[in-house]
Amino acid sequence: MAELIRVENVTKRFGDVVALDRINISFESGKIYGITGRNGSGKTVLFKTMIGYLKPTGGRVVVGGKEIGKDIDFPDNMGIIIENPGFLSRYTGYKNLEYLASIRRRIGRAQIRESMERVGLDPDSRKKAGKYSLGMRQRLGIAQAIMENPDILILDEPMNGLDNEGVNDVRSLLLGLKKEGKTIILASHNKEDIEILCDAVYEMDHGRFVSTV
Amino acid sequence: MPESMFVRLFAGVPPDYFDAIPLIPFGQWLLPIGIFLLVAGFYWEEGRKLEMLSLYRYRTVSGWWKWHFRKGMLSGIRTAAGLLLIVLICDMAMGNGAALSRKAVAGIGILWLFHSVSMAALFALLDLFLLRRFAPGLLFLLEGVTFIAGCRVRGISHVMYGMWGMYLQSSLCETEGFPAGAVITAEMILVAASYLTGREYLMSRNSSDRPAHLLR
Repeated sequence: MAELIRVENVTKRFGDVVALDRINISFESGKIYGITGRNGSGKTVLFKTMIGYLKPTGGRVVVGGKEIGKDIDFPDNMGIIIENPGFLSRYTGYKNLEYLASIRRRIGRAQIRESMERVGLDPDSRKKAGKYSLGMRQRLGIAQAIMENPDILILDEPMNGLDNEGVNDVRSLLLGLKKEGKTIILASHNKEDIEILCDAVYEMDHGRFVSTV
Repeated sequence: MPESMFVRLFAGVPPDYFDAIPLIPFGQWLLPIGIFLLVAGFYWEEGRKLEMLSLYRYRTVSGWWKWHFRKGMLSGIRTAAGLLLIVLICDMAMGNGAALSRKAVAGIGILWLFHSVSMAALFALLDLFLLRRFAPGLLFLLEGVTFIAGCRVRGISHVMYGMWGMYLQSSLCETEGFPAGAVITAEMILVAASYLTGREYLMSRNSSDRPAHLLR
């Protein structure tokens, strides 16, 4: 399997606080990776660093052979959910996705509709995103992450707020995406998600990997 | 002319105040400025909700900033023009419109519009930093303090930002007023400087993260 992402000796400090402490890890294509750890262990900071939202204090992140912050600012072939995704409350779910899709201009209405249907949302619904439940917002977040058919998905707690049916739907979706050759890196507190979905699991604590399964 | 709401709200403070701070006309001037900053605040707050999911789609930080800044400017122009139009229509409906000359309406509108656009540019710049929550307050303060300074020390009034949007303080209305053309040019330079400063800040290797508020 080809190596898609390489995190080399990455350290991230906020003042005196060390959020990431010399992290080394690589991710291959076509696998699902799980990152676990209690709140504040450094999972979200690691994800933000891999996306290019945070600059590492030391070390480097290479995605598809290109170094973040040097060769490119943000990876080109990624879909993300970081924390609870926010949307424009006065727009419908479809309009929010259309707005996001208009930035890269890679996909049309059909792909937006398809991604919403894949996560169990009605693209024709007139309901505004501001009226969405936490679970619906999470589904919409997953739809925006997958709609442009990215090779890499970075999902921070994608099951947050989902009911049992929603969790099962998302699990099936992620396993289907894995079969398509996508690389998925997900953070979760739910051991069942990790056991069912992941090929490799890394546990973080105090900005370091403390165990690998 | 003094009966017109359009003039009272958008033309500024007449230049015949020297020692005392002109509380009532100044308060009337600050009212639409406050509304403009409030609307701008709501606009940036709403836009921020989608930032986490949109930023990486721009591929480059400078690409994001260009789009972000341009959208802020367009929103500012829409808000400013909307406020001018609403008050003008109200004036017409109340029968005060006849007192207004076309030249005065155009002069008041142009100066207020350019002043609003420069405020929108400063708002966009401040929004990059962690003090973004205070942006409306800081700009309101800038407007107030520089106007009062210009009122107190007449020698510096032409270079005071708080005077720049006021038709009644300009050469379009007063021979002693600030040169309107030069002020419009200065406001446009301020817009360009805000854009370039924001871009340099975001591209700077010294800034730890970009934009800083995504740290939240």
